[in-house]
Amino acid sequence: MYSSELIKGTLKTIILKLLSESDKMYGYEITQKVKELTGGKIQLTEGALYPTLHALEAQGILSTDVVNVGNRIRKYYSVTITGKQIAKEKVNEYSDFIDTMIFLLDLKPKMG
Amino acid sequence: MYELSKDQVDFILEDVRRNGIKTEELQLSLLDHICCVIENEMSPDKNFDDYYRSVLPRFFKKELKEIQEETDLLLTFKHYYAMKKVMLRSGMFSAITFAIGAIFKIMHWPGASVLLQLAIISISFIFLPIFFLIKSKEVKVVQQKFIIGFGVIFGILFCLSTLFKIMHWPGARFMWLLALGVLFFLFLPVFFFSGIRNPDTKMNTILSSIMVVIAGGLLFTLTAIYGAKYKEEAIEIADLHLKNVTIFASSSLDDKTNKIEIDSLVRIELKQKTEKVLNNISEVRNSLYKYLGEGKSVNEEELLMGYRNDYLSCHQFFFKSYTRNPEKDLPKEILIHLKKELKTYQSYVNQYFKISSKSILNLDNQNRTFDGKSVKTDWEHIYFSVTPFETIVRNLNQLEIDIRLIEASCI
Repeated sequence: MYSSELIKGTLKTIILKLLSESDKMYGYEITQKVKELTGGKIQLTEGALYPTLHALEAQGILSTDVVNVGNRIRKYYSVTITGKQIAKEKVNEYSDFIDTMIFLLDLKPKMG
Repeated sequence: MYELSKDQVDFILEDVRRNGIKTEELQLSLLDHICCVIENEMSPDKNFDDYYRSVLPRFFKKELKEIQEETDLLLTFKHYYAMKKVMLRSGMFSAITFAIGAIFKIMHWPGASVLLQLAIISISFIFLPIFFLIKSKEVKVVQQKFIIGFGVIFGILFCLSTLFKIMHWPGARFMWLLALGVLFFLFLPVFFFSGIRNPDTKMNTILSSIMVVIAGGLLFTLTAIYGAKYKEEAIEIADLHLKNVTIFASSSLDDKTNKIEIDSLVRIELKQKTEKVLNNISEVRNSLYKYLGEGKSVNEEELLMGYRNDYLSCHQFFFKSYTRNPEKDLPKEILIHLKKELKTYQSYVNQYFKISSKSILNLDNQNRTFDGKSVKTDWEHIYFSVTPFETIVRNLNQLEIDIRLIEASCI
């Protein structure tokens, strides 16, 4: 499992990428999905997840859908049209960042 | 899969609330999440209470309300970057407009006051308020928030008092004194005592405080007490004078016994003498305009447009030196000459028309208070010493009206 500092900077990107690839998801589902996809290497902490989800909603990047589940309410999140664009930008930026880090830390010397 | 009862769900919701989660949205989000964790991850043989207690720490480092604080922070700073951008742009705009406006003003080009107004309005109503919002969120200590707050209030009042002053709107002086009050009695004490406690900032705090006191004090001495006191006094004198003239004019018109048959020759002589004195007054006025216009012949309107109301320049024109002491400040030839002419005219009128013009034109020495002590002051000093441009023009105009009144009452 990676340290929370490493995950913190990528949280928005992870959430946006996951949500833009599926129809809608709720908070617990997001954490489980990430855990499943990374084989438990990345576990989103709830303490960071919900503030980010609420902020993204307030910014109009995410829209929500409220559904009654048993005795409680469940909030489903989905990406708006502007959010999809931002998700794409975030992923591109991050991929560029990774390339730079690989080069900077000399992890995989460039061939040729 | 474990199934939660309604009581258990209510218990979790109540516990989340109790632990400092205030907004309903967040309460419901966390409730669903905790319920999901328990339903999916707890084996049916385990105790609900124990499991719940063990799940909860996954949500925080120290306390559950961290989530609420983090959410609040992210939500309040929703417009952070937009605000920062507006702040920087309005700051740049104000600085550039102010610099250009100042150059225009010095050069007496048209448009100076529009530029200065724009700069001051954007700095006091856009830049400084946003500066306060952003900076006060960035600092954690309460005193620091107060320092920023008082600083911003001082800044806004200072800018607005400058605007009011250059636009000649009423209230500039009051606002300026209020700004100084905020600076000296609110900003400085908080700044000084909070900074001096920290050994790292002690030295800088003392130095900054000294500089603030010096700069504020200098501005205060330059603007607030001196000019305003004299200006108001001068206006008061002019107004009293006008009142006297009106009373005299109406009483002399009523007084039928004073009427003398005047033959046309005397009438012509009176007219000539009157014109001569009036010419003298115009001469004084024109040479003052020329002096303030730096050698170029300009009129009153142009001078007022350029706000050349500096009482020191006017004083320098009428008196050789600047000492603020009526006994040492010697009037220049131009004033002595005018006074002589006025006296000649006065005695001529007294002699031939038996009219005492004293109540209109009082050229005698009077007792005036300077720095708390009563000093015998001559006519030149009362009307021309340390007096703003507008008031001097007003006094000269008044003098012309007085002469005309005397002439009218003779005929």
